[in-house]
Amino acid sequence: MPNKDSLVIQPSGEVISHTDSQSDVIVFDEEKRQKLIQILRQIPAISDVAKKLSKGKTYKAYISPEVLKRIKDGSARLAKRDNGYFAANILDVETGRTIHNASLVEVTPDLLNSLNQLATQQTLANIVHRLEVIDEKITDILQGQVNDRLAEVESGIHIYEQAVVASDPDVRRELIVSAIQKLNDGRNKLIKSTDFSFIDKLPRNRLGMFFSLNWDIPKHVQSKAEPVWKAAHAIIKASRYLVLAYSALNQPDSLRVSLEQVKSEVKVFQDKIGKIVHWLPPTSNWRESLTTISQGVLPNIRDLDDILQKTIVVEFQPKEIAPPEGV
Amino acid sequence: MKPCKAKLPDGKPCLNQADEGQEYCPFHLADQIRMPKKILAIALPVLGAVVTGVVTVLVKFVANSKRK
Repeated sequence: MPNKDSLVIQPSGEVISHTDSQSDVIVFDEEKRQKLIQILRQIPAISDVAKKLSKGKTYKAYISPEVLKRIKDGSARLAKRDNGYFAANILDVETGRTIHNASLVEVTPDLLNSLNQLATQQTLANIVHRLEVIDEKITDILQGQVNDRLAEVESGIHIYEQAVVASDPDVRRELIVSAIQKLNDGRNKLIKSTDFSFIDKLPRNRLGMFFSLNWDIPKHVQSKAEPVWKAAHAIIKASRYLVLAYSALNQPDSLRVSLEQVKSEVKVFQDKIGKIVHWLPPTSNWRESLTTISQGVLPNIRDLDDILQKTIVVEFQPKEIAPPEGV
Repeated sequence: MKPCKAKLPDGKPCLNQADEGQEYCPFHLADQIRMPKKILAIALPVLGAVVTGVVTVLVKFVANSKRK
């Protein structure tokens, strides 16, 4: 990674390590990365470090007095990266282990709040992306078919789209609130009205199947499953736009409650779809999308709970952080 | 739940799960039933027609012999 430095920052405001890829991390997309860089620019310690980096000098880190004493007496040293720059963690000279992480002492609570807020937004964006992927899988197969179940959800989506382009913030907010209402209503109606009863009436053994009045049971299941599948598609679409809408209002807690309210019903929905999958020919093109639905229609609420435990990874070039020369 | 015992045309095992107490998934169970059910569905009307014919002939025969 030439000429590119990376810091790994925890919402607690500590620089803990650098560049190592971790599984439990939040990686920002470009738009949010730029916003984050705006925040980082306001943190004097980071700004100072970036200034020094751009001049090819060492990091300026804020280190506790005990550790400073150890550095002076030679029992500890600053970690050195492959590119020759010093990193913000301090190593024990003998064992080579990290004994201290340089703290960004000048990070104010306000900036940390902004950082957490941005981490929440990124988590929501990741959830939306996952729902988009599921949605695409279904849309590809449902192509050309009219999804009559989408009607109410679609009106919520249209209101959300109108809100996004509204220039007046009050109108925008009002439209988003109205979109949330429509999306919640549409999703709840679908969850309540979808009929799964046919699944429990299906014969489960040879004798039952032999005497069943249905000539071709898998075909019968497929025809009955279609409205269920379309409902699942609409629920996913509604969930996706609900996440977007709550994210636009910056209300992740309301989203959490909205998801929790329908969690148990959606679980039943997923389980029933999981049962339908076993009635489909293994070569059916429905299979993948129904399996995906059975594994989770709603975004994982825990993603929002785990934000504070996650590490935020930001890669930036010194020039992106450092103010122009002479400032 | 255990994996279905059936093999797909390409030789790979079926991805579906079998119900408790069954060896095949619902799809393959229904698939195995389809042919005997079809045979029975064709055979039953044929058998019915044959039985009806035999009974008709017998009734006519008995009626004729009584008249004589």
